[in-house]
Amino acid sequence: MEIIDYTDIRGDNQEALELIKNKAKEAGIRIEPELVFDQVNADADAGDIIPLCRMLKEDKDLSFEYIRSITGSDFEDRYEIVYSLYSFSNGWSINIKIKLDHEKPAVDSIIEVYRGADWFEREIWEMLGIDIKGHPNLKTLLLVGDEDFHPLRKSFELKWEERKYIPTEKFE
Amino acid sequence: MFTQEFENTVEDLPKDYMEVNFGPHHPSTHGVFRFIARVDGERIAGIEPVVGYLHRGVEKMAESRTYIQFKPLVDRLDYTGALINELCYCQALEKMAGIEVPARAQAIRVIAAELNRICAHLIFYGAMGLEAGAFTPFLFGFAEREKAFQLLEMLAGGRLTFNYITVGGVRKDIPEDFMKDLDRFISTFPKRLKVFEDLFTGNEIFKSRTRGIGVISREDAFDWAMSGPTLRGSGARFDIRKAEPYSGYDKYDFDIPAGENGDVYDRYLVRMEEMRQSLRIVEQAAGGLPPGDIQVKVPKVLKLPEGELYYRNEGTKGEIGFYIISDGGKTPYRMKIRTPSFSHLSALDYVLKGAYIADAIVILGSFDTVMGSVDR
Amino acid sequence: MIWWQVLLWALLKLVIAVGFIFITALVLIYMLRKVMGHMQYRMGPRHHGPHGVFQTIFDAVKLLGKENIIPRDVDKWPYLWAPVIVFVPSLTIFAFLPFAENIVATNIEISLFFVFAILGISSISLIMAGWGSNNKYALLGGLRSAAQMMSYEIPLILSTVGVVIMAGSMNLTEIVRAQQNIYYIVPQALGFFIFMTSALAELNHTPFDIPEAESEIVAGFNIEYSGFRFASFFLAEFVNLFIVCALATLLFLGGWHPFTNPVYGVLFFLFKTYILIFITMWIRSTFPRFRIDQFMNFGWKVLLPLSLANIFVTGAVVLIVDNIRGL
Repeated sequence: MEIIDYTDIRGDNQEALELIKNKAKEAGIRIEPELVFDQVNADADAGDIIPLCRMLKEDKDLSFEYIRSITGSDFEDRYEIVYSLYSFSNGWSINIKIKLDHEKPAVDSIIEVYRGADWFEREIWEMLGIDIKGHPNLKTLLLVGDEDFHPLRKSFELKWEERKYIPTEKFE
Repeated sequence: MFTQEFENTVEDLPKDYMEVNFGPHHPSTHGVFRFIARVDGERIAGIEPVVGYLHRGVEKMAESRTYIQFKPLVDRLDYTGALINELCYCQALEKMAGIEVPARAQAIRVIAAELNRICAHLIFYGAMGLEAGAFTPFLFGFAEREKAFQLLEMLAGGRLTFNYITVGGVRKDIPEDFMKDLDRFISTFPKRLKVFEDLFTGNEIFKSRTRGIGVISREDAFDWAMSGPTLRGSGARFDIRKAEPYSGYDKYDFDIPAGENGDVYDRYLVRMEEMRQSLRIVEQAAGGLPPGDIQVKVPKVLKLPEGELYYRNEGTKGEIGFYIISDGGKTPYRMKIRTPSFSHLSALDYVLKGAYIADAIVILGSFDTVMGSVDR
Repeated sequence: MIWWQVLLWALLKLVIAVGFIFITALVLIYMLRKVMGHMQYRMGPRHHGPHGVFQTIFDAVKLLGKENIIPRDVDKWPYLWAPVIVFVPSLTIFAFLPFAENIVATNIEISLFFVFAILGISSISLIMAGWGSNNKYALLGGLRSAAQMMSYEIPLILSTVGVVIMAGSMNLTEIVRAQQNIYYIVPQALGFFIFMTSALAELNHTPFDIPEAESEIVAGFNIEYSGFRFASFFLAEFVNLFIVCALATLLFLGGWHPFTNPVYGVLFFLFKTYILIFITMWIRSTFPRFRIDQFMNFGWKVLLPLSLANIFVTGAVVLIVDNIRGL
């Protein structure tokens, strides 16, 4: 493969904002972008996340090929997930924020669009208890696997507790 | 709970594969990392990585500490390049709070960060030698690293974790005999690099072990969220220091190496070349140090305005980023740390399908993961 | 009175041989650590004795005092006998190696052939160790070593056929005597190269040390051995190294050549052997290792045809030269 030089690309996020607003209106997806700290922060609906990501990735003008991170956070009355995407060809970055219900949070997995979202989503599930629908391998990643709590929730307090670990099966 | 089933990750399994466990104690997995491989003779059919042995709950701890109290914990994420983590964190705070760093502090930060990058790449060189089976590169690399550590100890006061870069500047100014020793390092290091390359890079056995192994195409690298030298080896000449310059990097003149084939050999060459470019940056930064003060006045308890920010830097292994959600108080509401080794390890199963066991170790070494980053 | 004199003489030779072997092994281990240390920009052992000469003795004593751990589910007979059998070829071959003119324990007419026949036994002990350890890593190491040793014994033996053709005899003393005019390394340079490469592969020495590939399968077949059993594999590797370099000296470098005096002959022979050993240690500290399929390819597709070609050309040249002389 030949080397593509991305060193001189300077993206203007204002331009990105306009373009994304127009394209989303054409596709019928609700999105409200605004410019904060020179980055595009956008609000979207939880149900639209797969079509929105697909549009951002596969559209020739937008081409957001790279998912930077998926952050989940627990506010008292809702959960929020932020998807950070970046475009190498244009130098634009966007943070898409979706809000989820507090009682039974659930969202679709974007693993068919970006394969790199795999472990990010597993971590969100085990740390915050948000159900990721359609993920092929939802097992605990960083924790041991026999806890019944989700550590990053605000309801989980950091306190000192003693637990005894007894292996459940003989390790042959 | 500890036996992992394979039914979800490897489809159509015939029943006579052998399971080999490359356990957490292993000389070649960088840190405590375990993976269970299903092998068919010498070829790997699928792996299941198990991580989390070094999980310390850093993100949860961030919510109960002030911003300045959290800073030493950031050192311990990617402990091979600790100063660069600190640089990223402090710059994220400065951007949100609107603090301007003086020019002299920016130049000193660049010197420290690039020296640390050289140290981290020397570990890669040594470990690559060990994985291919030669014992000598390891000792050569660590001997050079010792010299860089002596410089960093003079400057920052530590060898592996530093707590040197603060919000608004650096903690201490350059001591008196630092510039003399730095000049000696700058003049001797390229000759040592040439010795390293003569020993290892042109070696036929090494080339046949690494050419054509572990090929990742550019689209796959983008898809799996790879960054840093791993992405550059796959044909994308991209560096955050050039794309979104910070701390005065746009004043220095340096090149970005990239590889054409996306195999292990290219990633190795990219990192060797990066060491030379880092030395170039150090030379330019040390040559033109502006006078001035090194620290700007910052309130004792830092409070950030309400808002969210994703800020990223070019770390030694790739892109390291902080997503900070602040509610206007003394402690962050949510601090998400994005590390490069996390994404690289998630792609391991995809890259290792069909490789030999010996190649699996070499490929894992070329990703250059550090488990403090993965587990946080 | 004759039978007990014969017995005493045989026992004396045995004691000398075994003593020589152990001293050689200790000296070689020390030499390896020092040579590798200096090549790697550091110094090697320094503390015990001047320049660390007593280090190996202390290490051997330490290993003798370690706890004898036998894992629970091992296959007892292969596991316990493998460290013993690995020494058998080394000790036996010493009976046939000549060190100087007339200094040889047993002089038979086909000593070269006999040496190679016994050298093959060492591969069995590695397979026994790998199987008996009841461990997947050890099994992988044992299988790899079996494949490696079988593939490289053929070029090893075939590369010496050229020497036998030129010397006209398989007796090692005769071969050294036949090198009066020219050392066989000059006409048989290809044979020398093939011999040294195959010998490194037989000994599991870098760059062919896949059975004990530390960074992949963590010491391969000797992963379950502790204490003196582990030391015996280690010592056997060094003794085999000496034997192979001694063979190379006898076959290609002229043995003890200019000196017919026994004392000087032995010393010169040892000097040449140690030069070859130094070269193998030099290779060990420089090169990385091959992958298993790459070096199987190398053994079967490169070394074997080359050694056959060597025999062919040597035979043809000797035939032509003899005919010319006869004319």
